[in-house]
Amino acid sequence: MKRGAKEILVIVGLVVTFALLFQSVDLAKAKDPDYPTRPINFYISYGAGGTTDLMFRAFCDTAKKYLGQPFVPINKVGAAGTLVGVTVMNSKPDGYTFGSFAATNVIIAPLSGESPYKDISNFTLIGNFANYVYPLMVKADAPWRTWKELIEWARKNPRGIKVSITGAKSNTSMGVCVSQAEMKENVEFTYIPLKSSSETLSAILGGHITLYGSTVDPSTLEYVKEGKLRILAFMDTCKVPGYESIPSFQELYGFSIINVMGVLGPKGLPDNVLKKWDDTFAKVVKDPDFVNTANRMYTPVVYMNRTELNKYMAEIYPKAGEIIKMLQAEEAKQKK
Amino acid sequence: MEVLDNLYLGFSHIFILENLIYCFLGVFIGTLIGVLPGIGPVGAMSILLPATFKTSPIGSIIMLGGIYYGAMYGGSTTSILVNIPGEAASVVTCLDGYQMARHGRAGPALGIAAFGSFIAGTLSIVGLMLIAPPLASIALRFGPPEYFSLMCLGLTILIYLASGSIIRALMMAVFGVIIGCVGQDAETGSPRFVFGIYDLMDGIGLAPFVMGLFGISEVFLNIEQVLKERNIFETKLKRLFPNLQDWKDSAMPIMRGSILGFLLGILPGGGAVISSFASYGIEKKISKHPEKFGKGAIEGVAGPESANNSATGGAFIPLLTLGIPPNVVMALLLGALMMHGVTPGPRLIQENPVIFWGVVASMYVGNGMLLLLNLPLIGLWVQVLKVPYKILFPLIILFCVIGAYSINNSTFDIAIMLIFGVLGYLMRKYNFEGAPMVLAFVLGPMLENALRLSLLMSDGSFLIFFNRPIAAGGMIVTILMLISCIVPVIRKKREAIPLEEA
Repeated sequence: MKRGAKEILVIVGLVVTFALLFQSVDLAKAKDPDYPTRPINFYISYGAGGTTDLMFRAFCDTAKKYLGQPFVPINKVGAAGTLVGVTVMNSKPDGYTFGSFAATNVIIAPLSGESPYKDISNFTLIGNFANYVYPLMVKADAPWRTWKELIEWARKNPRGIKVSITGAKSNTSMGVCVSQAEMKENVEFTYIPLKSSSETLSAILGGHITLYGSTVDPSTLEYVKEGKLRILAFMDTCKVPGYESIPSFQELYGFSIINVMGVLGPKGLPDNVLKKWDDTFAKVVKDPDFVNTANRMYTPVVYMNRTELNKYMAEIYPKAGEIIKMLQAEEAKQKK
Repeated sequence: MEVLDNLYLGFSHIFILENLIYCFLGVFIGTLIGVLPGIGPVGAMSILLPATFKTSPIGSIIMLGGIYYGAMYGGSTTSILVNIPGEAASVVTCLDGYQMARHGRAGPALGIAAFGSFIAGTLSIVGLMLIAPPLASIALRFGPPEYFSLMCLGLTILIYLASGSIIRALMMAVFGVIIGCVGQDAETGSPRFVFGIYDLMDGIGLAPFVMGLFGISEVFLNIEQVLKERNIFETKLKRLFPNLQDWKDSAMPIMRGSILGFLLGILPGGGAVISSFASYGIEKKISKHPEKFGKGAIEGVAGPESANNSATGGAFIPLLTLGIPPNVVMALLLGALMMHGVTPGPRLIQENPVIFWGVVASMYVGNGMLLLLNLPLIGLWVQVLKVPYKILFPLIILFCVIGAYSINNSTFDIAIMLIFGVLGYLMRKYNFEGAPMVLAFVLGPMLENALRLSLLMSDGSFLIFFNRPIAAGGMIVTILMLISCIVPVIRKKREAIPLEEA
């Protein structure tokens, strides 16, 4: 028994050492004038096969053409996308590690208190290539034809509307957006937090919730085309092509959700790397294959270069912080 | 016969050399990753996903689908040989499969797993073919209250999972529920049992947990014995294939497992894992000799292995008829189809019959290929048991480490696996069982989530579990089962079993 325990300790020790070595393997060289000279790791914050993943894979695939080096897409799912943030933040700023930049992991998560990084100053925001589209939908047999009708009904029936967003109210951009609308209209919804857009789709089709508030993909839109679901509003200025007459929150209330889909690097990237990426980015967003894929996913290309994106973030970040603080205070009050 | 016409259409697309190659590649890769612990179908499919963008849509779904059901075939191999579940769905196969191997019956165990998988796989395709659309619409009626009652039923089955002391089993179950609580609260987003360790925000992964609890602990346990004498597998390997008695014992478990797996596979969330546990519980409950379970009962291999394979067929139903993926693997398939511009949804069968019937036909062909691929391999696998332990054990540890790392590319998962390895070792030293803990770990968070969502829907009223027909049905069966445990006569019978084993 004693001897066995010793052996086990040795094995555990060996494995831990092995694991640590694994982590610190670093092939980086000091200067790299011909950047890029080896494959680039790209961390994606959501699971393989989803809208986010497919869009980023398509981006990597197209960027490869212009950078001349392949990408290694790695799905690092978890903790509201912040694991990717941590990985990128702690990586060497040599231009061989980038990550997906989606609304939640960079803007919302640091503000909600449980994040390992407290603001966006640890990152280099490279650019934005698309925006998420968030429709608010009801079942076709629901009594409400427009967003106004739904709000009127909700006013008479507090907590009667059961809305489902992906994730918890105070730590997703969808929750931030819908709760702002609630405040403006002075109505109260019931939140049924589900984990993914496909769970939300099956919940609304099965009649378990009344309002769908998640991302859109081609199979969700099938139901709209079939006349089984009806879009009442969009949470942002971005709309699904063909449904432009449906109002957006921007038009209704004058605010929009933060829904960027972009690329993130560590702080302190060399100038030649940044320049190369600026050029590549501008080319990728115009590439017909990439534009086609994006349209097919109903997530149209929206391009912001490095300067524009940074300006936008500087503008939106404090505002988002205020709203989240308010929501957290409200939740804290409810807990008491 | 419309079905036959459609099937003909499907087969006419399969028997093209290109698609046959994709099908074979899929099931071959699937078997391999199934055998390797930790590396599951999700990992392999996400690596191969971009490669399929260049192929035809039918080719890509045939290959990716093949990886999925192929992995279910392969998953049982390491469970039986070295007590390491290759897949989460093969955890229960460890219980009796490994015991069979220790008694020199690794061949029949592997054989019945392969045949059972084949039969169940084929039956589930027939189900997929004939009754997919109506079943899919029933699946939609499963909301949080229905899940809650289903989970209650599942946790009640847990009572039958234990082969030793019921108190110890319940202790392990509660422990499993607590471990399952780790991570972010789904409703408020606040962290639970995270202790400031950011990697714990998303909870503890099922694969590293299970590999540690069963696999690593097995290696630790054997190290002690190896030092004394090499006698883990007491008897010599006998025959390679199941005999007539094995077949008689397994026929009904295979049938029951197939139906159960198919039905649970349609429902979102861990169909394959839950159905394998449920099948084991049912077999043990209705068996004439429940005392043999946990000591190498072939029914305990045949039932669960059939159930997890049948669940794969069921899982295709919501994807292909509703466009709703019931699990991560199906979400990957959805992504692959969408990249090709094919949109799974209510109109897929009419608008893209080639995709639907092509998948059905490819599954017939793929299951046949898997059987042909796996039967000759059995002879090879049992040779693994003859590998000297000083080579085998480091290899097992190496594969487990690689597998744990590959899931999220995270070294933290390796640490999790090792911690549960040590824990599992201690648990087994002191006769605490791992299986109830795993089931509670899987079901606990789902149960909690379903309960909270239901109560949100009903504004706090518990009546929601009784005024919806499906939910009410599940609750009533659960209550009846619990009562049956309390009734003294039955209780005596139940307690008689653990006493024998103690």
